[in-house]
Amino acid sequence: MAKENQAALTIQEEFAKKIKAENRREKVIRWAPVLVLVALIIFFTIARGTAFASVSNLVAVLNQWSIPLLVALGLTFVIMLGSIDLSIDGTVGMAGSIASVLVMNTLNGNNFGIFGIIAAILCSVAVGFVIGLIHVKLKVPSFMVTFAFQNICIGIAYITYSGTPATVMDPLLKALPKASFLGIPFITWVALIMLALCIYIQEFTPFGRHIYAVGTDETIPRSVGINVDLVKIKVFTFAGFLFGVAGVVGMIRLGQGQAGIGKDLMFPAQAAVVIGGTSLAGGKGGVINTVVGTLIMTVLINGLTMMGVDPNIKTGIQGIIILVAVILTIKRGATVISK
Amino acid sequence: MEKTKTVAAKPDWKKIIMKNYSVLVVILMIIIFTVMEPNFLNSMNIVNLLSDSAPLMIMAAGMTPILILGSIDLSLGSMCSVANVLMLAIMLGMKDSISSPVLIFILALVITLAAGVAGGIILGLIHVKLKVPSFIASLAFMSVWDSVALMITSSPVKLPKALKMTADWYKIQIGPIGLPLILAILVILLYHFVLTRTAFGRGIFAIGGNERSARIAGIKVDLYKVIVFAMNGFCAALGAMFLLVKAKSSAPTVGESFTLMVISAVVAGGTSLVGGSGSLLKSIVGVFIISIIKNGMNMVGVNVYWQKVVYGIIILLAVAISVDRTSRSRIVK
Repeated sequence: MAKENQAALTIQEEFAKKIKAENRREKVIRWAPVLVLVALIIFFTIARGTAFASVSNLVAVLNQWSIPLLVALGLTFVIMLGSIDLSIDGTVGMAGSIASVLVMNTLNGNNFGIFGIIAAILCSVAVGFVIGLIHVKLKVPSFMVTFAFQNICIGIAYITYSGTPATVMDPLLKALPKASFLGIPFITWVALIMLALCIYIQEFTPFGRHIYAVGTDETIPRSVGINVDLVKIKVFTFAGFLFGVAGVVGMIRLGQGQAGIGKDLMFPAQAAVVIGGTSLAGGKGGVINTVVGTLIMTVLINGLTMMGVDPNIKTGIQGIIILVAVILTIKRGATVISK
Repeated sequence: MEKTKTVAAKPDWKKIIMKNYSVLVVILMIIIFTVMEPNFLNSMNIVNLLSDSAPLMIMAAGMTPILILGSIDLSLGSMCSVANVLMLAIMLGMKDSISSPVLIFILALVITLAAGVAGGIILGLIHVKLKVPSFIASLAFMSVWDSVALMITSSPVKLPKALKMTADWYKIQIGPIGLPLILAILVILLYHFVLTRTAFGRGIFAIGGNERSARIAGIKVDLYKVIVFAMNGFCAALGAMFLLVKAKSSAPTVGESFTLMVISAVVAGGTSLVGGSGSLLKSIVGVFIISIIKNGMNMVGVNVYWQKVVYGIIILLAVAISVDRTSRSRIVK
């Protein structure tokens, strides 16, 4: 009996110890991304001095930051569900290409102005909706649906201008990339407004809380009467909306619409979301994590470019970052099955 | 596993059609393209179509068992690019020190295949030991291999004149079928034999069906998975060699489009993404579906850009048909 009691005590102690260790670990993981960001800034400031830590470079970083931020925001909600979206390269390129042939351009006589841009974003929203619908109703894994749509959308993007990309001639759109307000570029403002919208959705709407619930364990929200399928479709549709905005912003920034706008956006976005602390298993993380994550990626790429690193290595570095971030945050143990 | 014979005397036509729909699709495709373009059945075009499908066939051989495991490899195409540029780089490096072109070719091939196997083992180990889902591990490796290929050479390189003869075997014909396709089918049949007639093969199906029971039954799950990924690297490298010999040049982006085509082919053949079922023989049919569509679209004159859209839709259709929807509560992420 005494022996059993002792065992119980140790189990209790062990449990308390385990919880404490887990809390400590969680705290470290929560603050790790911020520390990484600060460390990167300090490192590049020491390495490159005033070339890195200057107002003009800050504006450049803000400019480079906006499109990855828009894309990563859309991806954040999808990853919070525990799903993934690989369609980014396609949808962003498609939205940009469609927008460029609908506004005043060199390729055809269209001049729909703002309606052209809205139509382009709507196309991207429709793609997001269809992705969600196929994923939920046909029970196809999200990575497979989105992988297929990545290719479909790249194809559509090429088809819209078939050959030479359209250059934007609309005077307002041509002026926008250089415009700034309070010293912050216009393009960054768009991203910041979307960021505010995302924070609002995540923190102050039932929908935002449902995303967390579905991501943690979808049987629970299902049993309390939340329409889980609808939540998922909404998330993919909203992601489509943000990718569309990113595509249009990319088109405005480049002054040209082409499938290439979306190229190489997916890896930095995945890396940014995961490195910010949003777990691929779902239910954890959020918009603020992604802000830190995208800042890390942007500062890293900006700094590496300044140091003169071979651009070919950059994609590889992003892949390794994703891998390391996933390895550090993933659940392990003998009973975990990973496929 | 699929060999349990039913006692029912009446053949269940619906089941038979569902099981062999890929063969029906091939026949349908041939009819459609022949109606649209009579030259499609031209003997020149058939020879072309058959020899074009060889690299795809080899890579599908590596991918099928991975899908049977329930895993996926999105880095296949990029691995193929690396092997492609690596092999030519090795051949160029040995050109001056070794006089026999055949010996250079064989040495370069062996080193490249070893590199492919090593790449597969690394991916497999990360997936198995660190419990990273295969699609995310291979997604990361896709960007890593892309970088590696571009670092080896950033622009296409031609096979030098002195070594051109090593590529001659690719043109050998035995009847209407070229030597490369015969080699590819031999690889598939060999692998098929391993998968269906050995304990290792049965283990792969068991893991795909239910990993936990497979583990309890004493199957070395981790080892088997790593071997399958290593074989996939081997097949990617072999396919890369075929592409090198076919084009007589290497390019750092040559494999880019293959990831999509290979997965489309395997899934269109009828191997399910869920794991536990599938067959390499089905993948042969799947490869022909993709090759016929590719060739047919070129013959009919379909815009190259539409082809990507078509492959994407094929994947969606094939996956939607083959995915398991039996239990309503099954959670798909």
